[in-house]
Amino acid sequence: MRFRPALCLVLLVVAFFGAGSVAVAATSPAVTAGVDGPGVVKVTGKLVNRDDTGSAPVAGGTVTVTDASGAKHSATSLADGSFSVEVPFKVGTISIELDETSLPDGVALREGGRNPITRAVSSTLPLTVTFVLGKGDRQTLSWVDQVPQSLFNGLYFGLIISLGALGLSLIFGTTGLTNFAHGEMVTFGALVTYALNVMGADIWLAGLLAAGLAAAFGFAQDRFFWRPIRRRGTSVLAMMIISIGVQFILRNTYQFFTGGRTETYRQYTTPEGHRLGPITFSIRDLVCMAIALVLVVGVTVALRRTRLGRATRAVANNAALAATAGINVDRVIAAVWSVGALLAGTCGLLLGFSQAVKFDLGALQLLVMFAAITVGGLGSVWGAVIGSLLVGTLIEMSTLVIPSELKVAAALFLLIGVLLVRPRGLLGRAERIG
Amino acid sequence: MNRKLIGLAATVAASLLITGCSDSTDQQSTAQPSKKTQIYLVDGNTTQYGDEFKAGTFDGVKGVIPGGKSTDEFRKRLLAADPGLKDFAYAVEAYDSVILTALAAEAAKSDSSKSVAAKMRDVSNAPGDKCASFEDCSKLLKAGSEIDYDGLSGPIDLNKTGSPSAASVGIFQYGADNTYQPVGNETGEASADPVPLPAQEISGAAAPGDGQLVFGSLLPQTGDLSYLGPPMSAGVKVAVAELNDQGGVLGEDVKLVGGDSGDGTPNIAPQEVDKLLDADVDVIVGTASSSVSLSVLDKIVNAGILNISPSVTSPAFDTFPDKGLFFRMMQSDALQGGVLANTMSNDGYTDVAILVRQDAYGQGLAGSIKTSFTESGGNVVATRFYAADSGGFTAEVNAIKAADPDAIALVGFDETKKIVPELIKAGLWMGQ
Amino acid sequence: MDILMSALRAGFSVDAAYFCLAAIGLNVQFGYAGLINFGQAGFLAVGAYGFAVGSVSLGLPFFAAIGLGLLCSVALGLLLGVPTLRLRADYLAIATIAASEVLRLFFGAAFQGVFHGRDGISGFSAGFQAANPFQQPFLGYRPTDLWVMTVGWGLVVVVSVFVWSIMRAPWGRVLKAIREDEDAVRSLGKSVYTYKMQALAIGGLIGALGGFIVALGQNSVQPDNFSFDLTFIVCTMLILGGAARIMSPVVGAVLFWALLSLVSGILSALTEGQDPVIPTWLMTGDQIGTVRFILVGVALVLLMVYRPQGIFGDRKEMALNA
Repeated sequence: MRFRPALCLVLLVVAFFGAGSVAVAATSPAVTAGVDGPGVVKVTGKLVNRDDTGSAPVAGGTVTVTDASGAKHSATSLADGSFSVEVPFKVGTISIELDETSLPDGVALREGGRNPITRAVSSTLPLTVTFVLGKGDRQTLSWVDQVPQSLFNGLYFGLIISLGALGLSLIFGTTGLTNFAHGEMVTFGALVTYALNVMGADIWLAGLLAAGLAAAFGFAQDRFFWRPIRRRGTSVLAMMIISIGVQFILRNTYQFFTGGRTETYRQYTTPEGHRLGPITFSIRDLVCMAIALVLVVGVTVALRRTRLGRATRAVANNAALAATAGINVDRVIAAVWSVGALLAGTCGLLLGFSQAVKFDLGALQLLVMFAAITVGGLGSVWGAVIGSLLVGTLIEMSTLVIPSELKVAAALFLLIGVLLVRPRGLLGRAERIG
Repeated sequence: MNRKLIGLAATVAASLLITGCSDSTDQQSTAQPSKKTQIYLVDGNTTQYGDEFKAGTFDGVKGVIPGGKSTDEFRKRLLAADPGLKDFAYAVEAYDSVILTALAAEAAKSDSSKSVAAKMRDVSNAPGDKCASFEDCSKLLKAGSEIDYDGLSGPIDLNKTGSPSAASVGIFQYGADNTYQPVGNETGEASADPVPLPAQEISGAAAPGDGQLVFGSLLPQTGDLSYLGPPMSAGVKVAVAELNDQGGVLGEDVKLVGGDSGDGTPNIAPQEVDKLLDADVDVIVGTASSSVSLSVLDKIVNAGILNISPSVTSPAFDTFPDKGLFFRMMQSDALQGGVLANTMSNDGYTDVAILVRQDAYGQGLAGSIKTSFTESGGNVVATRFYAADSGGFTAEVNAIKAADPDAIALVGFDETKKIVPELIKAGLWMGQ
Repeated sequence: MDILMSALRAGFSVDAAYFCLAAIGLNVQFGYAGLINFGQAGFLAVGAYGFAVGSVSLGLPFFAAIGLGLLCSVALGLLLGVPTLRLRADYLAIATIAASEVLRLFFGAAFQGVFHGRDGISGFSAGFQAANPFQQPFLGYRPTDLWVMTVGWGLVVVVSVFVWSIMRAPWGRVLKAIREDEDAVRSLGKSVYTYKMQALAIGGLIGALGGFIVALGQNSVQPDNFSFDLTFIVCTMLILGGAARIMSPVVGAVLFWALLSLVSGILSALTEGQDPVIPTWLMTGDQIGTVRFILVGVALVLLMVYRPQGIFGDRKEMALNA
């Protein structure tokens, strides 16, 4: 152990973080003594041998420091591998050499490891040296090795995003509205879950309540905001601009309440990883994926099989015709808003696990969702799901090739590319889009 | 594929329900025999995580923070100013920014920016009688003595380019309760006093002051870094209240005008600077982030106004043509990065990875960690930048995992709360 | 009184000038041609970055650097227009917003030797400021700002006259006809596509001029200056003034900045002091920034619902049928 330095450190720390201004005044001379006086520079480090069997500290290694004026100072590493040498302070370079003959049997410098090491001295700040010993125990993965994990992460992200994309696509399909405020409904789910969870509700209960509240929020938004606006005969494009305003209101309101901090749920935030072949995953991830999958399948089946589902598709095809056929268009739209918001809210509460809860959680994913539904085909239900999986996978996989700061740009490139060659998307109906 | 997944997930969900929805992490032992990877944090993300995470999540993580830490007594004062405060990052630096400038104004016997700027080094450096509060220091000044203000954040000896020269960096370690305690401290002078460029000298005559010292705060209220604003803002408010309790500066109460520095999306900082300049401020305290500061500093110094930042650390400010009007309470990142590299080296790690938020702060700090650690003889096996606004960080963590480092330096802000769980999942960190 | 003066000054500030140019550009595209370009931020970014890279990395003289920026914006207009102009309006909106985000991410992360990452490029306006005829502050504006404002508002006047003249010409009438009924114009044998492309490029070019003013005003450019929120605010200004009117972007920009400043002035007066008018549990001075953006959103929604034609617009012209 480094007795003296350790004692000094303790003293300094106590003095520094002790109590208020008196302590500060007391410390200051100690601080400046090292700077103004003749001073010493402490050279420290730790010898650790790393090979297949793991890492172990190396005792008894001799380290010699040649200071700027040519004098030599030596020290031997202690039982924990650490060593410490003090040399007089002088601006210049010092050279630190490890005596390889002093190392125990079987311990040697790693190939390419530097010895001696030179360091520049320009201040009394302590200097360290790192001698790299042993063969090393790193198990690096090649580019190809990382593909399965990236694929899994991509599918995971895509599946969760697909909930948001599905809602966006449903609302677009029935009302023609490109809803720029959809990301805020995603955030809504996460924020409510977080708030309830922090107040003590179990995460399952909090999530269920949040999903329910999200549906209610969607219903209310349609009933008291969008329906009156539709009644006024406001055009689809004007509604799109209104939705930008709504986005701004909601996002800043969330920020008003959360202050821009990143928050985490109180449960399941740090699950353990499990390994299956080349893929690491957590149980939580699988549960999230299962919930997403059940919802996606449920909604698509409901759209095919139930009365309301068929009515929804009729409205999406031709609202006027559906109305003459006796379908209550307003009720269908209200249902779509509720389901869309429920899906978005669930998307958000699931995203909250892996991306934490922040006021712009959903807003950051809005363009990803747009990319997903455009790639899949605007208004197409399965298109939104397939598009999300594709976009999610692309985002994660792209980081194997391009800098990860540009991963979202990859998805947006795909969006622009699809618009170029097949504007109706993979599964979109062939209709006039220009 | 889908059916299989449903089956698997359903089984898992059922087993979860059976065990009564307890926290999943307690249940099975990990399948990973892998070695321990140490995590190191920096000043942007070394905060008291407390009950935000399960006990033990951060146990053993180390972090470095330059400068001071607020004492309990000071925290009470901060909470009195803003009961909603959740953390206290840079609050002492913000407080010291105000007190130091007020002392410089007292020493200059003027509230005019350039006169105050000319006295900033005098009141913060030796020679002079040491004093540690505005009350003591202003008494000494009135008695005609020279002073050397040592604030809550440390000795604050400003060098010729307006950054602290002697500085101390605290080394901290987290315990099982996810809060950190000091374990060490490295103190020293960062480097020889730099020679300022001609454009870093105060130019032109100082305007006559109007007798009242007016502070403008330019701290983030909106945007990505808005959580950093409240503690700094509280620090400024506490300081201003203290000044006025002591009878003000130059015999007049000081005034505080608030402004929002945003974070560039949308870029409202220049507009807010205009607002502050219109309010005839003498001193602007802010901004919080290097990037935003760089976008408005030119405007502030061209208006001849003193700017002091509690928290910016980019080395770019060491050479910025600031006309001698820019000061900061934080050392340039060179020092912090050096101390972090030293800590990793002293802990015996040889192959480290750096995961960095891509911006002025992250790039500067990561660069200095990398330089110092490489110079010490170690290897930086991976440096990965991430965009703070990209949502999740699975891809970045995988890339780090592929390099299998002994230790990881995480350079960033609040998004660390998303990254650490990913590291745990990837088996790169498991607490102790 | 101070608050009012401050608001008035904000209305004519450098920021108002560049937002005004951006809004004029959007007016050509959206107001006259009916093109929903949600990527105006991208055009500003290209203009600003073209100029900054030209003067810092390539060491081009001032006007050559400006030329580079303009060239880049035209190139962007063509690149963006070729695939997207045939699309329906909502597709166009999504495509342009995606393009501007790609640009922002690209400037922030790629070729860091040239673009300097998220810090952006700074320190290039010394030459421009050397030609500054203003030495003294005037009406509370500082000399450096006065010079940028002069150039900025000068450009606004020139560009407005230009737009006014082309919209009176047959070209402008065809454009408006396209907005009203594309098929009718097509049946007259006009190439709708070419007209739209020209409108997109001209609007983008004007946006790029706004980019120069940003760059000169801040003496720095950063990718995050050009996020979608910029386009959103430009859009709000245009609608506030009323689309398809020459004066509307100008009035919209001036009013927007003046109101924003007024709101924050009033809010800070209400939250100031020991015993503020608005209780601290409801709102503190640190939340002014957020609250005023909420109000911006509310204003946009109310405008679109109750007065989509803005201050000057003609309701029939803002019918926006697509």
